[in-house]
Amino acid sequence: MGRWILEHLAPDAAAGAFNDWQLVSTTTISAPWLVVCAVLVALALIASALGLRRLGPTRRHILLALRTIAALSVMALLLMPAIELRAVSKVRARVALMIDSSRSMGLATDEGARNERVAKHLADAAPILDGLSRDAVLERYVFGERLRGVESFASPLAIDEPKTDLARALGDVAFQSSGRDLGAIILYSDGADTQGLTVERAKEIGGSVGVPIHVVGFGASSAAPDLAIRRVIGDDFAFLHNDVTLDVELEQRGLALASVPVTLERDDTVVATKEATFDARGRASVVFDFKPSKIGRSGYQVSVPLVPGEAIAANNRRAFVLKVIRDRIRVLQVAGRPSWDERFLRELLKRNPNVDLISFFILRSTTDQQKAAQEELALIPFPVGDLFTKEIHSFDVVIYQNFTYRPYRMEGYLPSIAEYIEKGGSFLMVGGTESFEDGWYANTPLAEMLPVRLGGAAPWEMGEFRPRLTAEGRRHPITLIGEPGEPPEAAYQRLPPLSGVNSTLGLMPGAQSLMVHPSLPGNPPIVAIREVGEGRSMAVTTDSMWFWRFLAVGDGGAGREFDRFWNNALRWLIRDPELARVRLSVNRAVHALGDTITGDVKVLGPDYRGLAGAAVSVELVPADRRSAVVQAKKLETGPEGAALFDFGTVEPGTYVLRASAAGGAGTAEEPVIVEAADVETQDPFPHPEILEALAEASGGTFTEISQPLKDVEIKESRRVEVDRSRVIPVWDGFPALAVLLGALGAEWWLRRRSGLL
Amino acid sequence: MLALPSLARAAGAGDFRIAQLKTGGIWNPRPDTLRRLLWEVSQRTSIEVDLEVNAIDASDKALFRHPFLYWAGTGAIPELPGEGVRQLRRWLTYGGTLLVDSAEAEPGGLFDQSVRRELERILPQKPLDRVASDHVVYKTFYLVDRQAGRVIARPDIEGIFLEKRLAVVYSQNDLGGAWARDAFGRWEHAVTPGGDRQREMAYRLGINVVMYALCLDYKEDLVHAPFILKRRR
Repeated sequence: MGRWILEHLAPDAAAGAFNDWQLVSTTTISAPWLVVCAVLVALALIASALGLRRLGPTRRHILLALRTIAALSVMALLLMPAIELRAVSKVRARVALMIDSSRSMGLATDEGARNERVAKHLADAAPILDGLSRDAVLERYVFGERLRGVESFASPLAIDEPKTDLARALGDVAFQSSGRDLGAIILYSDGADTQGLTVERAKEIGGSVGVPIHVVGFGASSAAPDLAIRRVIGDDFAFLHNDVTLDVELEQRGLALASVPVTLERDDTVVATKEATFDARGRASVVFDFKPSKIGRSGYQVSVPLVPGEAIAANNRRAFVLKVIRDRIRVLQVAGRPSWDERFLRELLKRNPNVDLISFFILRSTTDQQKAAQEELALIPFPVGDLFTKEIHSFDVVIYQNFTYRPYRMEGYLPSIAEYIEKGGSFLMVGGTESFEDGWYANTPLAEMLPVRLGGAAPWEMGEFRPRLTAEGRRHPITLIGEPGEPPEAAYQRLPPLSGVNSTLGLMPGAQSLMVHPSLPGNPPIVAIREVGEGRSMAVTTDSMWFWRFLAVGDGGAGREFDRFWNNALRWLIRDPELARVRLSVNRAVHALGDTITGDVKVLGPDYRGLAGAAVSVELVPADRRSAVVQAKKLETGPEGAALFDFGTVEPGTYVLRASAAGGAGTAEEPVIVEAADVETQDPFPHPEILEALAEASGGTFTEISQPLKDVEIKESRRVEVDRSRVIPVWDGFPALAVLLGALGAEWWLRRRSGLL
Repeated sequence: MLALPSLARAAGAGDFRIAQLKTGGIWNPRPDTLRRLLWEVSQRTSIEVDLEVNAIDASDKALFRHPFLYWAGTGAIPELPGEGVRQLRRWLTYGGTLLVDSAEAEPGGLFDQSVRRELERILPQKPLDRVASDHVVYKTFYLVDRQAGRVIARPDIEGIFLEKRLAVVYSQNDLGGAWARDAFGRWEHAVTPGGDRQREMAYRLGINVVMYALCLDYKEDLVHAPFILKRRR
């Protein structure tokens, strides 16, 4: 039929002038109106069919067919169909020649750098590539993190891309729109994708591109000898005191190592060392399980020793930042005896959904009478040994409330409690007749950790008093217990007086007193705090704090000050970041060598609103030598209390950014890591398995760089160009009119015969 | 008089003390019985007590110096004043523990009716419930598995819970009658039907209620403590 149309519809045209035809519409009626017309015609047909119901089936079907023919003829007249005769020619497909220009292409092989070998291979393949130009258009690209089209390749080939993203590069090539179908891809790469491309994903990408990918790549054995930490797999956050698992993957080529020690460090302190044994492919992995013991962000690094003959030293070390958060605050409350002070504090802690409270109350002393058999008592032994050796480090806060160690022969455990504080634990001693000096703590290791000084103080002092805030107490978050906007002292004026105090000899070095007794000689501390070692300690030298909860209610209050005081104390003890008035944030924790370190510091006033015009000092110091300031900035906060900072290039290493605000607002620290190796050299080995998967899944080929380029199969283009055309209407001739008139005439005749007219 | 010996120390803010509710009618049917209980608490447990018992009106502001209140009586009790009702509601809501002890020991009797009427006024919509036998109050110090008092008028104790806390404990078995001794140290009332064992159990239940007021559900914590500690290993 096609040939008949080409020969008979344009008899005047030269033979072979047209080689293609297609049916087209030449109507000028817009599409919406055509739809309206089609709907009207359809409705007319339905109405006609309904009007023919009383006829016999044969006549009804004939009449309906004639009416349908007439309706279609009307539609044909509206659409004004025509045949377009065309002279067409095929458009040549494009072939994308992609060269990997990432930094890893500059790494050495046994016969020169990778980019040099690619250049040589391209030169050798020039005849094949030139031959492709007859059937296709060759487009040239370089890629790494992004794809760029080039007129010609630079000499030497560029190796300036900081990352390799094969999936993105192939996707971008496929979506390039140059008016030609993509026929094939010729890809030169080492397969060292830095975005975690796996063999499985490579197969998916290869299958989805839709054209053969002909890969020229590097074999696994072509790399220079090296040992590298390929990947460190683990979450970037963890829960305090909970297991963290890190998988470290190593690879070595050309070094014939059987095993290497792998070291995990936090802030330059060794956490663990494990031996990794290599398999036949030169790969090894080790798993580190550890429990972080410090809240906040910490810089960690994994390292293997440098082996003689290695090509790259920088990839023997991988650094990362782990953010450690707490799931719940674990509090150990040890009370020397049941009391109202213990009861109301316990009730508050139990009410706090963020607190996991373990209590041990001494319900019976050694001097109490026994009037019941042991099995009639609900008492358990005080598990001193386990509690203060094995378990103590699992608690965020340990509270001794009117508790003396003496009857339980705990002298031997006091050093471990002191060590717990020294290493970052938090300890609170609450007063009573068996606390502080009255609890025989003077001259014990624990006394050295307290904020108050013991050793010869007077015994328990009776009598009511209204505590007085110190200068520090007026702005410290623990003692800010009033309503928003009211002076710090106002809350204390409406609270009932306290009663009874443990005498002390003042403060230990470095401690702060927040509240003092107003009238006793020397104004002994009622609430004192201290940063000691890596931990914190707090002393409350009375057992009447519960007055602020219960007696205050009798005076018309609601006990909120009691709740605020202890909640504030708890938050201070656990170093709640929300309590900090200096807040430091770094835009990125891990930087490549040469990157600028940027971030911002925010200073809050005592009312926790942004403090404008505050003087802030930001210093960059090595994590292992904090006194050596590498770079420093002096800043002033803006209207919202924030200031931006940036530091230039520094040597690779683990650093701490330290921000200090004037006026006692405090300090803040954040770890920063500058890596010696960039991502391109962290895994320096070629990955032919990735490239083979791409080639195979796409129907292409993989050629090792030492072999000549194989034949490049090109997928045939479906795109055509129209050189000329002629439109021949088919609606305005006699046949179309005859069909319409014939159908209408026959219908008229049959209707008349059927008595419908 | 075989008075109770002194505890040889002044009372501190953390010491346990009891106030006795002063109402109309007979509000102190067992004088001195609370000192007997407090003495036993001090001798058997590590709790430091203040042996002085203050009688106090419901509307007295000093009520809030005593988080533990003992309400005993026999016969009909006149209505508490409105201010007293409001203050007791607030006192209970913010942590007070009220031990109601019927010396009448007659369920449905005049004292029982008065107590139910007043508790309905103090804590509307919070009815007295039976305290289940596995409640922690039965194991705060002693393992108590039976009822106790001068008589066994009811096989259980009742209570009112405020947010899971047992704020009101109501015994109709005359605990105070079982605790009471005269000035010569002799028991004031015979205990039936269980005799001395039942009297001892009355002390134990009283000590458990005191311990509950001070330690709340501490003993339930311990059930879970090994699990929690193990989980952290």
